[in-house]
Amino acid sequence: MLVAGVDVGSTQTKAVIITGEHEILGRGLCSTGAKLADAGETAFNLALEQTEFAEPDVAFVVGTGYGRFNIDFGDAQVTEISCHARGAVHLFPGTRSVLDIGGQDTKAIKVTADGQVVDFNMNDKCAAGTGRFLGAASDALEIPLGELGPLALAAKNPVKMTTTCTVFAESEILGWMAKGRRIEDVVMGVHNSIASRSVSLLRRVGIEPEITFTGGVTRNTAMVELISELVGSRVNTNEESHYCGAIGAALYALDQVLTGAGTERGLPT
Amino acid sequence: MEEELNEIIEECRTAVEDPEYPAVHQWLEENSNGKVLGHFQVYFPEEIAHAAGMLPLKMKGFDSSVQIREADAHIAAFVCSILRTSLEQALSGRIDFLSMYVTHPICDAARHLNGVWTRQFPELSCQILYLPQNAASPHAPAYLLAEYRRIAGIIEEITGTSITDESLLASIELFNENRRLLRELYQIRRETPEQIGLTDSYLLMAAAGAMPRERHNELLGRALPLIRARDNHPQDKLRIVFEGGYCEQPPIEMLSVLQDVAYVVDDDFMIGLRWLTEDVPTSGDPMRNLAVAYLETSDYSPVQRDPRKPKEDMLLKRIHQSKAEAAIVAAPKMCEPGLEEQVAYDNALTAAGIPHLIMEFEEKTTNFEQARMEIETFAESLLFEFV
Amino acid sequence: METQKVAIRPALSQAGNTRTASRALMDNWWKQLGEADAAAQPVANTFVMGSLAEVLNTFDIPMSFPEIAALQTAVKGKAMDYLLAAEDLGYSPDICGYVKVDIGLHATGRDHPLGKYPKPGMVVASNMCNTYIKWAEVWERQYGCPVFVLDLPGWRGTGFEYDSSSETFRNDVKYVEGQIRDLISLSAEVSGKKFDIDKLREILGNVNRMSELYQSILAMNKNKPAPFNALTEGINYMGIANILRGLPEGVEFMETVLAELEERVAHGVGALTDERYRLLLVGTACYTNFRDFVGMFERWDGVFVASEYMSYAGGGIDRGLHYDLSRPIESLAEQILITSQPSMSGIFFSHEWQAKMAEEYDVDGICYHGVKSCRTTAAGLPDAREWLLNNAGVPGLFIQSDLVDSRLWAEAQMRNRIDAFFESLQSRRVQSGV
Repeated sequence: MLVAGVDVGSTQTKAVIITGEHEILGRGLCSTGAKLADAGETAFNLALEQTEFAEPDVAFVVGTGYGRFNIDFGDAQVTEISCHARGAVHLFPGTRSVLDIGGQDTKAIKVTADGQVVDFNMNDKCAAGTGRFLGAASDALEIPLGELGPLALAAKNPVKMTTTCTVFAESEILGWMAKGRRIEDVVMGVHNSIASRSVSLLRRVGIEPEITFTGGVTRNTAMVELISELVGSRVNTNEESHYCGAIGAALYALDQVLTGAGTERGLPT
Repeated sequence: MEEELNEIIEECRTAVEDPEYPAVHQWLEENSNGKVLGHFQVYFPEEIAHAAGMLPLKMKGFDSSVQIREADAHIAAFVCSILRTSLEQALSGRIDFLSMYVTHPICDAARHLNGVWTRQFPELSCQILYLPQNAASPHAPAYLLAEYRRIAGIIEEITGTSITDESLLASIELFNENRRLLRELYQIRRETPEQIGLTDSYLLMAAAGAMPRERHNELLGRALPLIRARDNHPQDKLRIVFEGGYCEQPPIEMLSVLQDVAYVVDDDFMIGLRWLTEDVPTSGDPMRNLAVAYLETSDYSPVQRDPRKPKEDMLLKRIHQSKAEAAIVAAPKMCEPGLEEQVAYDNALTAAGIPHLIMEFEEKTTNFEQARMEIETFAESLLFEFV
Repeated sequence: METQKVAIRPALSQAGNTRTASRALMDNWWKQLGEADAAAQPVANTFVMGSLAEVLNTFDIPMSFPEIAALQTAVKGKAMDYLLAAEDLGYSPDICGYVKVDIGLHATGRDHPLGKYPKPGMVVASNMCNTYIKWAEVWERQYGCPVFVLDLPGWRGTGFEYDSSSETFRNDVKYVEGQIRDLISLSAEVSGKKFDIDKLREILGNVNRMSELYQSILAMNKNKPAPFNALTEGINYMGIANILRGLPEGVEFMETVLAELEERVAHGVGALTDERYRLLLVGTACYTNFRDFVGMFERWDGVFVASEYMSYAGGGIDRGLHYDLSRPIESLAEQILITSQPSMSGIFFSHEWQAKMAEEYDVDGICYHGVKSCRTTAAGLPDAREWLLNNAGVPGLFIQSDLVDSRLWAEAQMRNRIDAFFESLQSRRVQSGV
């Protein structure tokens, strides 16, 4: 028996297919783009291709992320807050605090030992301190997103970013460059800004170890370092962290199948 | 001579800008049982605290030297920089030396300070001083006198020192002297702005709220003759008034942008330190004199309602008295009262034919490009106009 | 995508009475304002907090409530026009939207979607919101009308409860009483009428009755299911209570509301067909997307059983306001001072009130809704939320939008936070085996 979780985020869509024993059989990843429903389906099919099974074999699909209501093949929807919490505890059972830096939202979540959300906090309406901030730096400096982290690690004297608005981030970045600051110092400044705002969110829910860092930004080594430094302990990440929301969604899907308590809202009542 | 002046300015700069409050720590070392009273903008009758032997400290905001780590967790978005950085200072333990913290509900955001501080620091005596918002009411003086007495009672309890007429009178005299010196500094700015730049003048002034007044009087007393003795040549610079610094302060770097392009001949920076515009009388009941002075011989700000002092008229007066040619009407980002006042100022200045620039600033910023461009463009456009 | 849940109700004899009455009263209010404006009769602009309707009604001075008028433009989907008109005049995007809607109305011919928006002949403001004073000064400059600012010293203690036996209180009362006497003189001047203390007494008596009824109305929601939604219907009760404060029609309206609610309770009829979550609202409403906002909670069968809004914008009638008719002016001063505290200073210590309400109304969680327009109600919410969770174990949701500015409404983010909050409430229930 298989179930799936599909996380339609603001920039990327992730899907996983898992077995009843929690084994991940397939992973799918694609850019979200404008057509949310298509992205969900593409990621799901990519994940399915990695398995030996076909769509009818997947008993239940839970959608999460911003586009969760747009997945028409999904059976239920759960927010990515609940899914990241669930996924994080699954990947690292000692998890009590979860930080997810997403494209549009950064979430700090306090969880119980079995992955239930105790409290959460998110960034303000604007995208300060989210992954989008890195996107702004990437655009302004014309450096691919994936190269920002390694570049930042070379910084010696990082600049202090003060803009809290992503729209103005680009002009501040260019302002620092115009003042002759080294590119790595500017990039590190951007990282510092995101890390400190993210950890500030974590403080709002109370930092309790272990802390698990989830989402696409976990692949950015500089960010992992910075956040570990700010929270005062090594944060959990691994190669599955990127898929954490989708994994959580799949686990919720499994609950549905096992308890048979399917509701329109995805969570057991 | 310049060396001595520079030393004085550096001492003031450290007191004002260093987020570790070195001047306070030094005072505490010298006064082993000394207690510090922190008061938030705009005005607090510091004489009352001083009369009980306390060090009154004006709680201000900080620029990017203070990194916000905790404060954002306690205050909603859309709140100005000074509330955040001053709270951050408290949450980071940098002002653990406070024995008392006083706020006056100057605006709807600042009204929350007392609640937030009380929840966060249950051991600290957090107090509200309710200054009248109906300053012209015939009932206001009696009310304010009772309010000052109430605050004095709390101070007496905290310090274990009673405030006598004699001790209060002595403090009033000390602060009168301080205000006289500050008035003289501003007089120099109005008459011979080439003698002292805006940033130096600002630091000399703002240090009043950041160090013991005795020391500040001494420093100013030495500095003013040195400034007067300078032999700087007047430059062909625009004379402007800066309005909008009554609570949150622009970062120093923005002041230096201003002084590069213009002579700022008057301003409302830290207006609370200069709120009383004349000497407080030294005969009669000193507490009553302080209360009456707050209501009757005082400056203006967007956060005090006094129909006898329409703010736009007061601004025009400030401009005329300083013979300024233009004005910059700034407001801190997210500052409700400051932003609301800008429109009235704009209309009045337009009607009076006074060139002016309306702009926003934020204390905690390192991004001056926009401000610099606005200010430079404004000054350039006027210089061409006057040629 | 979702359908609104409408309660299926047994046929109740009182059903719909409140709605019919409140519509008629609101229409009539606008009609009277239009007539006063046409006849150049002085209208007083006043505010829901500290309206001093008691004094104004004694002189039959019609009252305009610009806050209510502003929110109505948002409900009608017209607020943006006025906001932009005000911003064209130089008002910042970062200030109170109510102020800007009003400025926009005055700048565009005073045509409100519900009627003619009158010119102020006088203004009664107070420091219960500092922005009221700035707002009053806008009219003062534009129309040169007399402005009276009631200065209410807030409670200086660090807590929610007000100590009315203290020397500070006695001193404050003197100050407030003096100001009220000044307002009486000003009102006599503006209206050309003599002060009639018996009429004031009668009005105070009506407020007393409204106060008793309002408290009974609020308490109805201690029942399960809660008979009314404090966010939707509750705002309506409060609006009428403000515009008809002290008038016989106001008393009558409160009686109508109570009768309808008592009948609902007797028949076990709730605001929602299937009440699953009881919530306390802290902060204000979102008028730009009023139905969407409520719908996001109703989707989870969540009902607002109480709201802080109904307290601080209710003019003190939620907490035992009672005038001593034998000494009307003195009692007016005392009661205004005491009952203004929840909004004057209590709002900053409202964590204590929230903890009490959470218990009395048996709420599952608190929704903290911060609006950019109102720093008075919003600035300290995150701190209070943290306190409630850590000290009273009541979970809280913090969301932000605005009263009237639809640019601050972010549907997907709002829904995400609300859904996640209910998911966490749901798992809490599963955990505790309820």
